[in-house]
Amino acid sequence: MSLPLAVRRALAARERLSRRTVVSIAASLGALSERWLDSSDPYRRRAVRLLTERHGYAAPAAETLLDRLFGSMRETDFVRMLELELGDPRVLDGFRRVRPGDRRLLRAHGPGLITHYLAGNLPNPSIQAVAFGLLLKSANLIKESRRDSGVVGVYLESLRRLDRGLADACVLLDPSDRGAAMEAAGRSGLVTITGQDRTVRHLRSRLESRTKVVGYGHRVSVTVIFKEKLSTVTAVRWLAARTSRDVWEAEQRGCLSCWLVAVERGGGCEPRRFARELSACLDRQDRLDPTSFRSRAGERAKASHRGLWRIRRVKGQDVECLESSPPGRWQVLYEGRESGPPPAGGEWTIRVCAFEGRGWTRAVGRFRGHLQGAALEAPPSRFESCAEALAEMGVSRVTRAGKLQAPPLTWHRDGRPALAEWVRWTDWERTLD
Amino acid sequence: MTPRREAARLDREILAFIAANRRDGRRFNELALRLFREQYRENRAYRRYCAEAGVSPEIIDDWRLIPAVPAEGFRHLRLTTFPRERTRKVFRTSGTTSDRRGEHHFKRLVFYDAAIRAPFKAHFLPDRERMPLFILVEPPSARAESSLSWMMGRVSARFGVRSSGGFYVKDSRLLADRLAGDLRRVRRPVALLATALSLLAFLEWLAGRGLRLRLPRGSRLMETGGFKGQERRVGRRALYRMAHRWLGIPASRCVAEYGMTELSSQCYDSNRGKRRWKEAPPWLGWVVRDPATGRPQPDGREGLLCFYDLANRDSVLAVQTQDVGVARGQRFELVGRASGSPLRGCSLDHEALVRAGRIP
Repeated sequence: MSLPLAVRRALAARERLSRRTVVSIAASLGALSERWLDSSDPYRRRAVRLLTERHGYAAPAAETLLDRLFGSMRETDFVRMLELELGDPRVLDGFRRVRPGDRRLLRAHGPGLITHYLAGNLPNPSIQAVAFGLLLKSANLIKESRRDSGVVGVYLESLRRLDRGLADACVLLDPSDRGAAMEAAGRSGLVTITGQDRTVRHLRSRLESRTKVVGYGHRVSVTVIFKEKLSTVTAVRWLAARTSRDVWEAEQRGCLSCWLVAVERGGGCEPRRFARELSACLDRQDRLDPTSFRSRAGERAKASHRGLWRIRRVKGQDVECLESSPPGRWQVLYEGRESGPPPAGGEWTIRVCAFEGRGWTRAVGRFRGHLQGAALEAPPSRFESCAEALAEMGVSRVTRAGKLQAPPLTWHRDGRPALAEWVRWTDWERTLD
Repeated sequence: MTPRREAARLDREILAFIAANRRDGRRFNELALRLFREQYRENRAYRRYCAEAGVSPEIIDDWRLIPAVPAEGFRHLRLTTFPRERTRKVFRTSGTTSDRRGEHHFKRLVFYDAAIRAPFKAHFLPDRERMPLFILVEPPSARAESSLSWMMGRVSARFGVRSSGGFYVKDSRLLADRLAGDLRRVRRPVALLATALSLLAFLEWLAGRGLRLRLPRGSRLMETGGFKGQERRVGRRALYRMAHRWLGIPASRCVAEYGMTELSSQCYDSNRGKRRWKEAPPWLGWVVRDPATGRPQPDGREGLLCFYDLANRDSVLAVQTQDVGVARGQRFELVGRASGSPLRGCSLDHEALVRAGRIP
């Protein structure tokens, strides 16, 4: 299908969509999520196959990823998010008084046409972006990454079976046709870009300044564990298992994947013990599906870390490189004192560093400007001050260990509203004179 | 035999091996193992590194089993067999990807200088003894810590001519005007020696002015260095196409040199086809290793390049690089550089973070 025709069809579908209520759209999307949560759903099976065979996910990770995604995209989640972001979801249907006593009536419009640049093989932000576009009753042109296309297509197929009207408002562009995507972006009221920082920069620079662009670049997440949470061996094992989930659940591909665990000294168990427990958890998890993808580049990175950690031992530093056997599957890089390169991460590589006092701020601070989520395990007396410090550093989400990969739909990704940024408002100052 | 006499004998034998410039696997193995034994004994940091790897000289009989120090080690450890006060020369890495620069210490440069000559002659000047060399690198007097400047200085002294050519970078600025003027006046074949970056800068300078030079037939180009750590990158074939267009030097006359501060010897392109295969001199052993297991890769499979350089006489002969290569018989192809795990989704752009200087 040519681009002009695709745009025409999507806009015609959008015209029909504008006559529907936002609640009915949320209900349809929510019903679709319920189907996807059924592990025998044929579309879900196809998506799992794609994620494992083409994108290299371990099977348990693929299943968990979809459970997490669709578990957060139920009808009530959509409505709740719209309430939080817009005050009242029905402002998308017509003028509404959002706050009692306010004489204004408010109306929100989504962009007529949205072009989504979806990067990577992490399906969650991609599918959410499409769902958000539909909630705003916009036509959606979708450009997937050439290398990692597929899952969004399956989602749209399943949507077509359930609600053709919604599916018609979405058009998948040819992932290899950059020119068409650029042309589509030029015609759009909004362009969303998820990808590498340089991709976001590049696309921004090529679009006209009047085009509204919302970019989501690269970020990482961290875990901070205080000594009070490491009082017993059982507690250490439990926390290690939770932390390992934050590593393997999205195969460390997303901004909510944990790269660094800062562990306080002086608890019942030392940080090195935690690192070993974490290694054991990763090893057990990896053995469930040892065929999941590890790239040659990832293996080379692990070899490089191994060499560097060996050098650091020669220098007399308190470090240890814990690895899978044979090497290349996972790596836990322990250091007794936070210092020096490399910032390990990606493909099941995690750095565990011990700290004392306020040392964790130095370790986490290295990622300042690139922080997304933080899993915080602290006693009640320290939780708030630590959360404050994390927020100050730019963390957009503070949660508990093991929950990093399960953000609610209402989460302020990259520290911004999920959807409110996409809409245009009209205030009607109605007077009764 | 006392260690000192054995060391002197090893010096003579390595220099003789380099001078002979002839492949002899058994002899290389013998010299490499003897050198390893000495470096293990005299180099404390390296000995501890070997202990970490669980290898000592008594248990190996093949040079490929000598523990290789990651090139990164030159940033963190003082890898020498002599005391600090005997250091005569220090070459430092460019520091493009990290704040801390690697250091290669020398107490003498006789091995380094010996290793430069024969490969350069064989791969770049096989048809003549001398020729005008136009060098797009700062001279060694200005960049005492640069191994590349040192090498260019040696090459210039041995293979250049006094009446023409010279160094065309001063205070980190390319003297493009002067270079273009001098090249326009040449009537005999000349050689340009440049880093990929300085060459690109010069070619873009020419292109910006629409200035096409037609250098005499037989002129040639040697480039080195790649674009590591730079935002601006151009593929090698594109670079050679530009050189042909703006200098008149065809790709068949372009040679890429491969060297690094951590090594004393260099490799050169052995062919001029689309896929360029590099050849190492007989005293520079190399292995393409599987990054996960460390085992040598069979021909045709990518891995990390590991070098065993007899000319690294007073530091460590075995150096594990971050460069990715593929072996084919006696030669290897340089494929790229391992910079970190591939990043997909919205995870962090590792290199950008390092460049931003947030992580030392």
